[in-house]
Parts: sequence; C-alpha cells; structure tokens
Amino acid sequence: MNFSEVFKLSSLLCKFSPDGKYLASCVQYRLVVRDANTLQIVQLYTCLDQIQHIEWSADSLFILCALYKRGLVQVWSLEQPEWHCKIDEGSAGLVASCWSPDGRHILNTTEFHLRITVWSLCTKSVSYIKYPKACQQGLAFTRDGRYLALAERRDCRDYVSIFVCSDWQLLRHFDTDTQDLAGIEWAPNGCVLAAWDSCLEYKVLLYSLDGRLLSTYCAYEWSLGIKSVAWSPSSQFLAVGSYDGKVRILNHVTWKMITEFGHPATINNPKIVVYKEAEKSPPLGLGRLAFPPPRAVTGPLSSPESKYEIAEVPVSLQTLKPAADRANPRIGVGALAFSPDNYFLATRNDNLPNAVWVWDVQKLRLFAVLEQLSAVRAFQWDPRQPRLAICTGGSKVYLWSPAGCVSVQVPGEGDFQVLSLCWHLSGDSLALLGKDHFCLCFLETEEGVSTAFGQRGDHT
Amino acid sequence: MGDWMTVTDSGLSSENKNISQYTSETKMSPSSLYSQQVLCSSIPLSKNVHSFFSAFCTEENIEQSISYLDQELTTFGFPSLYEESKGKETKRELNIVAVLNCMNELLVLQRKNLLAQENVETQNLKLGSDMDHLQNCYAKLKEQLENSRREMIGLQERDRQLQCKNRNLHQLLKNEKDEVQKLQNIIASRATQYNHDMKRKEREYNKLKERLHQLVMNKKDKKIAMEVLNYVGRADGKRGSWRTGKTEARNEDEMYKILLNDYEYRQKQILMENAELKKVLQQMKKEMISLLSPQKQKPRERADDSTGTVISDVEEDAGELSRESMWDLSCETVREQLTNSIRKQWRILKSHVEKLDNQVSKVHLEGFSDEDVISRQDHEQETEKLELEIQHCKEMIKTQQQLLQQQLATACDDDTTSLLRDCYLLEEKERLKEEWSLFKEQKKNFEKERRSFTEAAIRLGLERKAFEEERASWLKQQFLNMTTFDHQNSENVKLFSAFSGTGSDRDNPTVHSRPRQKKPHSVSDGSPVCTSKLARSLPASPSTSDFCKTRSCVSEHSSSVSALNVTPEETRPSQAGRECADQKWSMASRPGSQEGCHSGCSLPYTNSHVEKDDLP
Repeated sequence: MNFSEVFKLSSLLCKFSPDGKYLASCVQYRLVVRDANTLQIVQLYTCLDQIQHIEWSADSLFILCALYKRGLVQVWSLEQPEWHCKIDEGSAGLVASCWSPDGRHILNTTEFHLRITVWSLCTKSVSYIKYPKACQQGLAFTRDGRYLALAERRDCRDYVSIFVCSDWQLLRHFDTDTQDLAGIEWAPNGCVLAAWDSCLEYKVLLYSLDGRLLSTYCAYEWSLGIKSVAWSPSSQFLAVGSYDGKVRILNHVTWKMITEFGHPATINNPKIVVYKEAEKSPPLGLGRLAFPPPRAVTGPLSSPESKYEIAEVPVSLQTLKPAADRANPRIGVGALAFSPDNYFLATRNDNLPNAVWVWDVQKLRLFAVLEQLSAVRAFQWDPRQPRLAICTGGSKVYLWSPAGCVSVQVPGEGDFQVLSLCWHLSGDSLALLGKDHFCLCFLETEEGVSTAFGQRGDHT
Repeated sequence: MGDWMTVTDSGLSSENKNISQYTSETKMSPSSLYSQQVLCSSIPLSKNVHSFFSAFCTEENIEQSISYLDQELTTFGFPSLYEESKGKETKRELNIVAVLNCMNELLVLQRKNLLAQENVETQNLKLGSDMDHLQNCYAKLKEQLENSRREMIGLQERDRQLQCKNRNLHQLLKNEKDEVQKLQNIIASRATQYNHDMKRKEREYNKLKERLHQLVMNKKDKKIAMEVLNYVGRADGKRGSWRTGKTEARNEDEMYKILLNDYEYRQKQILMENAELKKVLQQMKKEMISLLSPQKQKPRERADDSTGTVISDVEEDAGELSRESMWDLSCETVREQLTNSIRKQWRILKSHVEKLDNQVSKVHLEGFSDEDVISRQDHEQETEKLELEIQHCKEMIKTQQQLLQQQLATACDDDTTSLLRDCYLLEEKERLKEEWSLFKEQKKNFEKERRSFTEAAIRLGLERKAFEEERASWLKQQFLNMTTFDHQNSENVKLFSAFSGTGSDRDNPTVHSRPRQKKPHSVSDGSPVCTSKLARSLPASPSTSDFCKTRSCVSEHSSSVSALNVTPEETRPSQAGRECADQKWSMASRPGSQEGCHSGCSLPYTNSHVEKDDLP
C-alpha cells in the first residue's frame, strides 16, 4: 500500500471522474483536475467564489461547480479548457445542483424548493419543474439514465413524477400514500421505485416504472421509523434500516421481509468474528506491519499505532446513550451499503457508533463486526471486490475483506484526519479526504493484496 | 434399699391401721381410742410409745383384748382363739396353739402383703416414669402442634399478602393498560392535530411560496440566465427533438419495452429456476420409485384404500417418464400429474417411514420390558467375550509381530526365508502324516497283540485247569494206590476239589492271572448282596473258566445287577478310591457297566475284559 503526497483540499470536494482517468479537487475557489494515476495537474480552473459542490458529468467531459452562496453554477470542459458556462439563478437562489445522466443538462434547485430549473448545454431551452419536495432524497435517476423520479408536494399531498430524461417529458405522475415522503430510490434495474415515509411512520412503498403500486411494507407503528434504505446491486433485495436498530431485508418477488438483522450491543455467537481495534503501545511494532508505510515517518506520530485483535465472545460493544429529548436521536441504522458483488451488507447502528457490521447476504446472517476506537465516519465498498474501506476521523484508514482486517496509518506531517474517502473505479486506489488535505492511497494489485491480507493473518 | 424399706414399712403399717380402723369402727372396741391415737402417731409399733400411751393390752383388760382379738380374727376368717367350749356356763379357755397359728398366719400374710406392696410400688414407679415420658411426649407434640399452627398461620398470612399483591398487580396492569390505551389515544389525537396544523402551515407556506415564485420569477430577472461560450453537442450526437404527441407515445412505448424486458428477464430466470426444480422433482420421483419398488406391495396395498387408483398410477408414471419433453411445456395437466404422483409417492414413503419408526419404537418399548435385561446381559457377556477375544488376538498379533520382528532381525531376506519356511512346513506336515499312519498301524498291531495275549492267558488258564485236573486225578490215583477204601473215593475227591482253589492259591502265588482272578471273588465275598446273587451261578470251585462263565452271566443280568453294583462299591470306598467311585456313579444306570464294579479293583484286567466282551 502506497500513499501519495498530501494535497490541499477544501470542503471535502474531491471526486474521481466516472471514467476513472481524472481526479477533481477544490481548493477554495480553484478547481484542480489531476491525472488519477500520475497525480499531475491536468487542468486548473478558477471559479468566482468558494466552490461548495462539484460533480462530474457522466461522460467525464464536464465538471459542474456550484457556488450556492452566490446562486451560481460554473461548468468547465475538460476537452476545451477555454470553454466555460455560467448559470446564474439570480434572486431565486440555489440549494442544489446536479447533472442529468446525459451530461448535457443541469438541474438546479432554487431556494425554498420553489422549482427545479433544467438547463441544457445543447440548446437554449430551459425547463422548470414546479413543486419539488424538500426532502432527504427527492430526486432519483435510474441507473441507465433514462428516467428521473422526483418527489413533489402539492396540496399537502405527496406525489412522484417520473420524467423521461431525454426530453424532460412527464411520463407518470402519481400520488403516494405517505404522510411525509422522505425519499425515493430506484432499483438498479430501473424498474422499481422505492419510496419511504419520514421517520414518524414506518412505511415503504414500491412502485413500478409505470406508476403501479407493487407493495407496501410496514414493520411497526408508533415509534420512529425508517432511517436509511439501500438496494442491492442485483435489485433483489431492499435493505431498510430503521430507528429500532434493525435492518429488514425485503425480497423482490413478494416484497415481503425475508429476514431481520438486529444490532445488539453484545455479541454472543462464537461463529462471528469480532475485530477489535486496539492501540499498539510500543512503536517497535512498526516493522511488523504488513502494510508498512513506504515513506519514513518524519514527524512525530500524531496518534499511536493500532491493530486489530480478534475479541473473544461475548463482546459488548461501546454504546452511546442517545439524548431522548433531542430531535434526530443518534439511534438506529444510519448507514447501509451492499458490496458490489451482492455478497455482503455493511451497516452502522448509530447508537453503537464505533462498530461496523458486515452481514453475509447469501446466508442472511452476521458475518463480522469491526469495533473501532472512535466513531465510524464513513465506509465505502471497493467497486470491484468485497473490500470495505472505513474511516473514523483519525489518521488511519481501515480495510476489511472476508480474509481479514487491517488498520493503516496514513503517513504525513501533522495531523491528517481522514473524514471521508472515495474509491477509484478500478478499486486500485482510494482517495482519503481530510479537512484541509487529501491524499491518494494506492493499493497493490489483487494478488499483492491477497498475500498482504494473508500476512496479516496473525494480526487479525 | 434400706430407705425404701422403711418408707414402705410405714406406709404398710398405716394401711394396716387403716384396715383395722375400718373394722374396729364396726365393732365396739375397747381400745378404739388408742388405736385412733396410734393411727395419728407416725411412729407405730414402738414399744416405748406403747407403754407410754398405755398400749392396746394392759393387765386389766387382757380378757377384753383377747375377746376383741378373737372377734376380730373370726371376722377375718381365722379360727377362734378360744378352745371349743363344752358348755355355755364354762368360761372359754384361751387356746395358745390357735393364737400361735393365728400369729403365724398373720405374719405370713404380712409378708405377702409386703411383697405385694413392693410389687405395687415398683409398678407404680414404672407407671410413674411411663407417665412422665408420656407427659413429655405430649408436651413435645403440643409444642409441635403449636409451631405448625403458627407456621400455618404465617403461610396463610403470606398467601393472603401474595394474593393481595397479585390483586394489586392486576389492578396495576389494568391501570397500565388503560394508560397505554389513553396514551395511544393521546398520540393519535396529537398526530391528527399535528397533521392538521402541518397542513395549515403547509398551505400558508405554499401560499408564500407561490407569492415568492411570482415575485422572483415574474420580475423578468435579468440575472437568471446562462452564459455559455457555445452550445455543445448532445452526448449521443443527435439533435434534440421537438416535444410532440409522437414523442410522448414513443416514451410510453419505451417505458413499456423496458418493463417488458425486465419481466421477460425475470420470467426467464423463473423458468430456469422452475426447470431446475422440476429436474430435482423428477429425479426425486425416480429415486422414490426405485426406492419403494422392492417393498411396493405392502404400502401399495395400504395406499389402495385411500387413493384407489395407485397401481394404475404406477403405469402412468412409467409412461410419464418416457415423455419427459412434456416438462418443458409446463402445462397444467402435466404439472398436476407430477405433483400428484410426487405427493402420492411421498405419502407412501412417509407411511413407510412412519411404520419403520413405529417398529423401532415398539422394539424400544419391548426392550424396556424384561427382555431388555437379558439382552443387555447377553450383550455384556458377548462384549466381554469379544473383548477377551480381542485381547487374545491382540496378544497373538503382538507375539506374532515380535516373532516377525525377531525373524526380520535375524533374516536379511524375508521373502526367501518365508518361502523356505513354507517348504519346511510342507515337508514337516507330510512327514508327520507318515508318522501318524505308522503310529496308527503300530497301535493296531499292539491291540492285536494284546488280544492274542489275553487269549493266550485264557488258554493258559484252561491248560492249567486241565493240568490241575490231571494232577488231581494223579493224586487220586496215588491216594487210591495208597488206600484200599473204594467206597470213600468219591467223597474224598469232592473234598480235594473243594480245597483245590485255596490250595492252588497257596501253592502258586506266582501264577500270573491268579491274584487277579482272586480279587473279584473277594470283592463279591465282601458284598453280601452281590454274593448272594452271584453265588447261585457260581460253581463250588471257583476257577478261571467258571469266573468267565459268571462274567457272561453277570453281563446277561446286567440291567438287574447294575443297581446292585453301586451299593457294594459305595460301602468300600477304601478299595476303589474316590475317582473310581465317582466313575461308578456315573456309570450306574448304564447297562453293561456292572463290570466296573469288578474293574474298580484292577483296571488293566477290566479293560482287557471289556474288549473280550466286545469280541463275540
């Protein structure tokens, strides 16, 4: 495992292009595009103000930079550096901006969710979509980029509109039987739309592309409901994480629950491997690391080294007592992610903030639990293989694979806190984002990694 | 004891006094006052006191005392103290003898009373201790009763408390339920209120939004604009098309196409899955049929009752197997047939398995009765035996291994040595066989020789007899020559012949067969029962030939004699020895075993004799 040098970064804005060739990052008002392999600067663009959001177009030809404070969107072309485009939303303001899947339209949401403006880069035409709903996830494109589903709110009722992305024609418009629609998400095959209610009511609705209600699922009443939803890449399962600390898996045939994954604070099953991150007190252990940092550590280490130990069951995980009198309590399953090969599901229960749970989807049971020393900030699956990268806001990055688990110290001067991370398309590299800096972590090829994991066997 | 005695004495005396008091009350007693006084006094029979208190009898009232005593004694049934009066006028005389007798009787009575008193006292004591014990027991039991009563009361109290608690809890539960219901109602009402308020607010918000929209959008905001250097081409290279009804229809079409594609994909998957499952079903069915066919008869018969046309179904099944291509069609009938046949087979299999289960459980149940114990014992024995065997085998193996190792250690080339050894073994075997046959022949020869020897011995005996007869005749002639009394000849001959046995015995002790022949006779002499029977058949002069005759005679009467044989042998264990006696016992019931009676003394002789018996 190799690490690049550290580059400056602001607002955690750093993204690989969809084709994997480039890496865009923002430093205040500048947009820097680098080659993803050599990290040479390819292009440098200067925006009018601090950039608050960037997004690559699907064909990797354009980058959108949103300057919400100014109500501006600036678009840059990679092929033609001199080409530029500036969209001003004026006094209507701007709260969100995104590309349409074809990479030629930009959807801007105005302040107060008054409307969504669809700007085209091909023609002068501008389309407006009224009454978008201000919610957690009100806009969803199908994976093939043909359709857009949009949550709307009219006359105190929730609606979903399905648009054809090629000409922004309304295809279907139907009301959903929800109190307060919180989010919508297409199944990866683009044929089923999942819509869920706000946390006050546990309700999942499944709609066909043509607007038919396929099924409704409600696990319980009265208490707080759904917190997170994720489709499996095969569209076979819909995982629903809720405030009761459980993940419920629905199947795509009957849309009934197959199984329920609880997140207990103590793990008693001896079959489950519990990896516990432990601080390594003597720095002598450095040489034993299977993933040794390639560069000599020049400055003093900001934090002690750590390693994983297999904890003896029963293990009790560190729990967080949620404040009952505060809104949005830190309980329930707040993060869910299926591995790209459908085999695993990673979850985080917010009142056990240090733990990541990995579930075996084939056997529908818990597979492993990773307990970190501090709260898990983010985790993301390698797009190519069942490998999970985790960061906790410390100077380490953690990798899990079915073979084992490894904790890697990110080398660098001073304190480099990994707040977020994103994988490269190929799974060969990983961008680690800190508050002011980012660096790339290059993983060995598959064989190298597997042997490395094998070497870690004694540590894990 | 002395103390006791004194106490009893005093008691007894007082009693006596009591009696006397009662009696004296009835009669006029001159000394009633005194006696009363005496009763009152705790120290009776003291002479000092008597004299002091001017006792019962004084010089003045002797007569009166005597008459009083007489009266008293007569009332108690004693004879009168006075002599029989001859006349009324004469004064009756005191009869000293009667007085003494009375005194003596009184003393005896006193002693008896004392004894009785003692007995009564001891009994009283015993009873007193018994009483104490019983009282103790009673107290204890009372205490126990009290305790248990108290305990019971405590338990009752606890029960009451628990019941109270339970009632309270029930009440609480009810309250809680009510509370829950109330809270749910509150939540629901609040939710509706909240929703209502939300709607109101949202409406206001929408109005505001609308207004804002108008204000912001309709002002012809110059700022809302897009500056672009030049428009870029579409990603697909096509030009944007106008929105018309046509495009709408096309969009619909495309949507349905996508949906159709998805459904087709899913259908294909389902078909594949179905095909797989059908294959599995088919295979299962085949296996079931093949599994059930050997024991088809029984379950079939049973299944006939319920399903009726099962046998015809089998033929159907066979037919179905041939047209497997039907499965792909998945038409209803085929599906039904398949499922039905599978179900039937399954039912059969199930019933079969259940039957087996029942059998197993039955066996188990039976096993739990007495049979199990025996079988277990048998098992244990068997296992023990087997273990022993295993141990033996192990030992053998061990020894063999050791031997092998030794041999291996000694012999360098094991193949050749083993071969050679095999050869040696074969050779040895043959040699042994030869030797065996030789040995057998020798044995036969030996037996022949023995037979000839016995025959020779018999012949010798005969010859000797002839010789003795000759000698007797020679002696006779000599005697006749010596004497001239012809008339006495016959008697003398008889005499000599009678003596000849003993004489020859004494003269020729070295003769080989003599002592052996003699012994059986002595045996028979020793046993009176036996001799009485044998003596009849025995001639006056016991000789070898006679003996042989008796032998055959005995063998003829074997069945009758056999019982008799036992007794004489038993009576003389010193001669036959223990083992022989035992042998006889076992042989006693067998016919022809009577010779054992004789052979008990000389085994070699009897052996030969038996063979001789077998010969004719």
